[in-house]
Amino acid sequence: MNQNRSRRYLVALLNFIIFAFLLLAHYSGAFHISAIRANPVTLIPFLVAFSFFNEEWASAITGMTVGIFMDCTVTRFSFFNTVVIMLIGLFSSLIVRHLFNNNLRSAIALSLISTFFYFVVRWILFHAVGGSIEDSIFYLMYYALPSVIYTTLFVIPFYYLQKKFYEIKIG
Amino acid sequence: MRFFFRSKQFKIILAVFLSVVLLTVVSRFVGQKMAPTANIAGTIVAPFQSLAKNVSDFFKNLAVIYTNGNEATLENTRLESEINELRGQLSDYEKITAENEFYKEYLGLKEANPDFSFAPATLISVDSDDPYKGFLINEGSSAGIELYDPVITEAGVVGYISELGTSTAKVTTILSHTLTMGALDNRTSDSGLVSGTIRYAENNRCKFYNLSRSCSVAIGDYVVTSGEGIFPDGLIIGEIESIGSNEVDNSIYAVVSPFVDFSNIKNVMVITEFDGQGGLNAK
Repeated sequence: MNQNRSRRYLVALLNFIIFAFLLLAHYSGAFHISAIRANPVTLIPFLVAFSFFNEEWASAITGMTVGIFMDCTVTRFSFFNTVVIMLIGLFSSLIVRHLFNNNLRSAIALSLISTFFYFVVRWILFHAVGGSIEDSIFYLMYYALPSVIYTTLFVIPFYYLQKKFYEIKIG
Repeated sequence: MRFFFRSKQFKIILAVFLSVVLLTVVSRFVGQKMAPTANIAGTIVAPFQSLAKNVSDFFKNLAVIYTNGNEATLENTRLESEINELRGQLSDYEKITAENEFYKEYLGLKEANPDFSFAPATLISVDSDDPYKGFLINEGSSAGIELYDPVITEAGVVGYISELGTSTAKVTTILSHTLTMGALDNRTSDSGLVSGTIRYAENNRCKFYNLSRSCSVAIGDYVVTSGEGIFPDGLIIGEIESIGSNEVDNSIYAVVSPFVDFSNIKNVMVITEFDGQGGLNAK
């Protein structure tokens, strides 16, 4: 019983460390992994992979917490990530539990959908409204869509990592 | 799925979520402050962001120093250990020198503009998702900073405070399309507007437009703020790099290369007070 609990704490700690590392790495500019204009938001595939092996409420709360910490760093409307990342966490977990199988293909598909949703909402809110049409299309084609594809690739290592964490957790 | 939506857990999540949304929306409409959740999170994260930024800068400096020092090491291997020691010292020295230079320049600016009040701040994180190179600084309302305060470096105008927390603030740069400021050609006094576009922002450039057909702006002229809006007059923005004509209204525009290196900002000054602040419906 105690062993189970300590394993759970260990996995929670590892997840916390990885989330914190990804957040700081993304916003401190410490690790430049952007390719041309594609700038991956690695927190999304990690959250999607996390939601494959955790309950809906845990994924939603984690998503909201990650979103709040992202919002304290982004320079525009500090609310967007809290909502969108929470929804991604919640619905990823729900879809995996009720619609998809828990395998790598589902993880890639769900990560692609989530990332697409994230970038499209961001484009609508920050670029499609306010700026020029030319700028808005340019952002969508050259920044958002390449970033969607690039971000999705990260779900592959993250999925296996979360699978390993789950194995540790259940012993 | 239906069971989950009817569960107690979902109701709790929904309640927390709605509270966050409500708090954010209220704070947004009362003074465009940072969301309370983001403000608290920002206060918690700021020291870690600072640390991460320092670690990142340290590795960048080390890479530069190593590359520069490598040839000397090959030439004289017996000095290797001494060089390694000096590298560490040089890293600290360069940081202190850069800071001293910054404060010296700031002092000059202060002497030239006695009406200015400054709040020094350090960049703690870059919004890598923002193509307009916005960033976060380590000072907020507790340092006397207010929303829409201009942000500068010794090189020129950087942007303005677009969101304000207690101990952090978000800066929107002059490369952004959301910022439009009045500007003048320093030589000819031709007036126009300066704003950004996503394509110009990629190359650290912005656009000086709405210039009349009869203007006499030239490549190499300096562009300064005109004093309309949120910026005091006479702050250097950059240098005219090229000139073109708008196909729609036939007006003249110029591409401006700002003097601020937006990829390398470390310290900034926030102008918290200046004569004429808030004039002409600044916001």
